[in-house]
Amino acid sequence: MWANRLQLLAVATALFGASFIPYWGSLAFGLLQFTIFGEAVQRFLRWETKGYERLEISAGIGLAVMPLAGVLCRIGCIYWFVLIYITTAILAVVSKPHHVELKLEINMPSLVMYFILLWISLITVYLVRNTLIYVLFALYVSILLFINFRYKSELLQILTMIYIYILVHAGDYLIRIISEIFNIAMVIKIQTGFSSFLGYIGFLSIQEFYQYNLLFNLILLFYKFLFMNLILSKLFNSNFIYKLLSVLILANYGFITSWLFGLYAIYNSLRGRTFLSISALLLSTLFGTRGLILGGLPVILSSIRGWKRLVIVTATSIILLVILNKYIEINFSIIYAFSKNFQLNLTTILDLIIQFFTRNRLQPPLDFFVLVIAYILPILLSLFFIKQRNRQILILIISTIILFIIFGILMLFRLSVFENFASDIPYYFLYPASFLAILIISKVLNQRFRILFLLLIVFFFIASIPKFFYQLFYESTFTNYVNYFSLLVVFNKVYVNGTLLYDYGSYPFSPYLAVYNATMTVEWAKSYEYLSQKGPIFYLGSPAIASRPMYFYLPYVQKSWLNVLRNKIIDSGQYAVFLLKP
Amino acid sequence: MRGSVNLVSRRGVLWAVLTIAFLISALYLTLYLAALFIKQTEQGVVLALTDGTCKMENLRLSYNVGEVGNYCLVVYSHYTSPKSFAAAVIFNNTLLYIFNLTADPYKLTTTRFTIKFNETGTYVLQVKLFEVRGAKLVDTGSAVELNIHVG
Repeated sequence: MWANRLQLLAVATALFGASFIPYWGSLAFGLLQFTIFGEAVQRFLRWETKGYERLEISAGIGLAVMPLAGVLCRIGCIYWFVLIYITTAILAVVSKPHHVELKLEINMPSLVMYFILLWISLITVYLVRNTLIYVLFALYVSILLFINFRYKSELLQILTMIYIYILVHAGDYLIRIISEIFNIAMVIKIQTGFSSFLGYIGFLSIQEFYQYNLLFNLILLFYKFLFMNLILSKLFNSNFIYKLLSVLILANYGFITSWLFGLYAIYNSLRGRTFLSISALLLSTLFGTRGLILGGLPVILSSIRGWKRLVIVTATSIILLVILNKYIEINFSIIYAFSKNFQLNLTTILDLIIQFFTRNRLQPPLDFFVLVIAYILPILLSLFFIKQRNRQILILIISTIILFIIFGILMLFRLSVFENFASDIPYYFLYPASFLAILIISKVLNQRFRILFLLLIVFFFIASIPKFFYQLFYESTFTNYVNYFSLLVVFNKVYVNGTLLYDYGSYPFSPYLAVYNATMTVEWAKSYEYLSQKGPIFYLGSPAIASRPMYFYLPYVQKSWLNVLRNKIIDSGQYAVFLLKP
Repeated sequence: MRGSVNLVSRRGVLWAVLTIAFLISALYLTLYLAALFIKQTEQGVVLALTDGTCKMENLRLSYNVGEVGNYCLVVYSHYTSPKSFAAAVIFNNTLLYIFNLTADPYKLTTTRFTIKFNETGTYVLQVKLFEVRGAKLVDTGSAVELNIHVG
């Protein structure tokens, strides 16, 4: 009877001890928090879950407690490690043992094929830097889908979703691993607006404890996908095609944990569990805003039934606004500044209209339109079901339409009034609208349309590639990562004190530049501040960046930044390190 | 080999831990191997021009007539084997120095030099890096230019 308890305690103790080993300790701690802790909680609550589902729930529990890590890590992450261990140990000892079945299907041939394909894909990303990459990826995805249908395995499905995510975010993972090879220190600065996202801070703090190593990053990714598989399986009745489509749509959305709890909120709301759905929504806001954007409308709209629920919804909305106050204040200051100075008279409005239609703006590349069309396609398809009498589906359709309208409005703002409006914000509303559309389609259509969705997967995958492709090889102005990191090594040795400016194109590298007291010049509108700056200023980037046909680069921004470069550049090197006039 | 690992009761948790550890390590090693391959494939060199202490912060760009400027050439090679380079220092369109240097992989190579400024005016100090292949010099494309004001 005690053997069962002692075994869990022994595993937890061994992992806790191993957590303090540099580098590989992160694997031990990941296992402790996201598997053993969750297992202890499930044993305590006597949950009779089985197989991968048990592991997935454990991962979810480990993720849900992250905001606490964010609080404790402020005094030292070691306290968080101890708390997790002690809680696990207590729960392991006090729980009554019961028969737990963990039957994990592992298919070795498919696993081997998967890892070979992942390896080939990453090399392809690097070696093939032209449009041929789209065709090759279509081929790889087709092979992977074939493997999935040939060897039905839940583990392979989870790994396939990770495959897609890693490829769409190749930039993140490649630069992290190359930085490890080149031994470049990495620091992440938490922006003021993110201070209320305790879960997010928790992740960063533990990552900092393990010196932002790639291994811990992958551990987090793996557990997030375990939890994701659980929620997507519940939302789509374990239909793999819909799960894949969801991952493709949301892969670029960022702040995964936030939208995962947003998805969990939607799932509970569809099951009529108001309390759970609202709790999940609140929890999602501790990890970022994505969950709220994704799940907010469906959850709130389905909760409004009777005055009691209305009170709950109102209270939730107030709490959400309080939590997000700082974030809204910082990120929407441009709108505030605009509204403050905006005068509602005919001349101003006419000026704006003329400006909107006559401005000489950069045209985005064709790939950009393909991406937007891919996201809009499911939304258009979902509109065919607007006549459905099912209340849940109607709520989902209304939410989709509202999100899409917000996307349209923000896109117009971006193109007209707020030229320096952060470029990604409109898409925060497009991705969830597209996801909700897929959810609607999955509720209405049956299996006969499988081929259609298989084609949609390949199309989505191809459409998603350009975004990261541009980021990887064009946006960053440098020909490749290895050269860039070599440059950072040199910079690390020759740069002592001063301010380093780097352009938006170097955004993926920002964590690595943070160690140099670096300022990202994405705050283009403020570039005049740099003109008056005292002391040495170094600029990493290329003056040619302003002429690149990228949709991120807005005319006003270009003028402003070119102004800085023209006035201040006095030194340039092959890799675009400039010394600016102090 | 196709099989299911039936992880029941006592050994269940331990097996689950080992399975996840194996999967994460496999994912990590795959990425690591891919990155190593990239590192082996992509080779090149980085050139920087700094002050006499080989730091960038004190790099001077204006001098009085008669003053001596101290500079340092920093070369970082990411070729996988030692390579021979020639760095040409050109001041006011006149070749001042040619330095022959051997750069070891993933190490910084530094070379210091001085220039005496005798006349007023604005001059261009240029450094170009060539790879030495037998008797031929092949332009690496790495170059640095400084606009120097002598008053």
